[in-house]
Amino acid sequence: MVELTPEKRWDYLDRLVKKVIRIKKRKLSLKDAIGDLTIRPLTGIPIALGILFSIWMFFGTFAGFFTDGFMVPLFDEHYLPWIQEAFPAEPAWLYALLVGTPGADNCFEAFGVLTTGLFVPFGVVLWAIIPLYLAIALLEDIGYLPRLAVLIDNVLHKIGLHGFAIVPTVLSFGCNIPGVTAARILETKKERFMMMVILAIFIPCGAQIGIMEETIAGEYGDWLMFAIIGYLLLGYFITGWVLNRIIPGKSPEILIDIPPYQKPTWKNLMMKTWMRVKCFLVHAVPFVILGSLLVNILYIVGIDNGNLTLVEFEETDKSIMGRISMVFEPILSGWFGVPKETILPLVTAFLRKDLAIAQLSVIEMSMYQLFTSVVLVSIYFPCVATFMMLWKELGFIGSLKSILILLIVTFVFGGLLHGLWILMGVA
Amino acid sequence: MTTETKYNLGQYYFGILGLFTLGFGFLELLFFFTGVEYSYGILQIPPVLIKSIVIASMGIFMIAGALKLKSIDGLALITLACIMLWIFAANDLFEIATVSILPAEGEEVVEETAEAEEPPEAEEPPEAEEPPEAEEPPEAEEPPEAEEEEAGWFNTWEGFLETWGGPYNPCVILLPFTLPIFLYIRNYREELRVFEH
Repeated sequence: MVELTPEKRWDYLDRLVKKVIRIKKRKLSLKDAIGDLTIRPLTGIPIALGILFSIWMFFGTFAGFFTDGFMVPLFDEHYLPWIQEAFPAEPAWLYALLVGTPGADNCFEAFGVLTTGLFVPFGVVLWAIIPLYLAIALLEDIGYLPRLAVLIDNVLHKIGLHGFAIVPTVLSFGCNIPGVTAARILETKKERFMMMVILAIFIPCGAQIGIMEETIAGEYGDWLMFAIIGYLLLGYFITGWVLNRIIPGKSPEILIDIPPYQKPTWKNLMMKTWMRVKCFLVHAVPFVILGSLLVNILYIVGIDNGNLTLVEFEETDKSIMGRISMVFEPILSGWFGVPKETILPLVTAFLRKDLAIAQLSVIEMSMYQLFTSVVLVSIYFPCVATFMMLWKELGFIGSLKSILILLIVTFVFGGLLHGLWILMGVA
Repeated sequence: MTTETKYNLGQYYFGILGLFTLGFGFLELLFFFTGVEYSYGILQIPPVLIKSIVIASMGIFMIAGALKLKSIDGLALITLACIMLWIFAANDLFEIATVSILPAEGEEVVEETAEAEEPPEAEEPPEAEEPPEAEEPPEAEEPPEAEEEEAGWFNTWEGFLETWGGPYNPCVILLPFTLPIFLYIRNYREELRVFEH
């Protein structure tokens, strides 16, 4: 059997095509011509920029309308005062667990299961993921995503991936789980491993972006969010490039079919969006509530002479969370330059990143520390649901390898930021 | 009107529209770097970097397309630029719609800042010593009124209409001027039908 080089294979295919296919002269349709324009770099890049920015605008307007216009007043001015009044103050531990900080004037700072635990998924995240899921479904249905794949093919080849890797990446901006699942389409084990690892580490999900928009962008402006997402994308490419060098294996070409542009149907769009929103409601909301519960338990339970005891709300240093903070303080403050209280969101981030960002937003810190903290929360570990999916796709050994990589990446990228702030004289 | 004349007219029309689009894009870019938000009449140019780059690019597409409108490439370039402008305009209109539904924040802000500005005046040493400081309680009673205003979930009818009265971003203003592209798309489809038969 003769082994052909890729060039010879393409030549052979060309000859075969000429033999078996008769090309009839035809006039290009407008759809074909527009399709061509969206994959040529000169015209395709401004269009891609415009489309991504439009999604951002739509997302910001939609989420802002429902969250700031209705949910924040509903939760902060009506629900929170009502539950603080109606819930029995004794036993205090139960109040702290379910309602949270006594006297808190907004649901972000209350931290109770029935306050922050409900506000984050239903008051903020739900209204952020609906427009994102809708936009992603629209891009899929009109046939733009494969064109984006062709457009970005050259860039992604530099990190050993095929252009089609943009599809899992875009899907991950909605939720990491479908992103990891979509990475199955990549041909070799090396490509799949690389894709899943860099997705799980660097791509913030819609829920996280939604809460970032509400908290970080609300306080400092959109530019800080763009800077954080930009840093994460830089990490995506650098880590991909490094992994491509050290992981053995091939990254062969794959052929993908580019469908013609087509008119989306409302029924399909609604169905896809609803399926994804339902998935969030069924799989993510319990984790947010569980996260609030776990964190509050760690806050109200302390260890005294080896026995578990209940601690007062003001004595957080004696709680388990306080002890964990003290243990990790040298790493958090010394290496990453963030307050030791950041440990709380880092623990929560294992369950839900959106809840973790909400917790970060109420910790007193500088803008630069906030930048580092958000990056840490994003990259130090994927949320539990994504991790389970990674485990399923990569197996036990593969998951262990991915954990090792993300630990190294966290120390490098978090430490780099701290170093940068020191150089700038702001740390 | 002959097809030739129609295309010639189209070339001038989209060429000029492209120049305007390019100009708006550059102005947005300029205002971004100077940090100014420009508003005149019904036109408002917000300083947004990415949007300005894309609008300027669409202007270039339109001009390039107008130069070869008779070919499918030229028509496709103009159509693509128009679609991008429609997407931006739709987003801008959606934003106006959401703002028009929610209660106006401006009035509250003015009241709050007015209240916030008052205390420093009251802190002036001579006044601070005077007992009439007790005049403050009536001011302190004002917040409940403000709260009552904040409690509204929806905008007033006047506020709603006022929001829709403008000013508008450039893409919204350009939107109606891009609609003639449908004439040329229809024309091309007819030509295509003739060609295929």
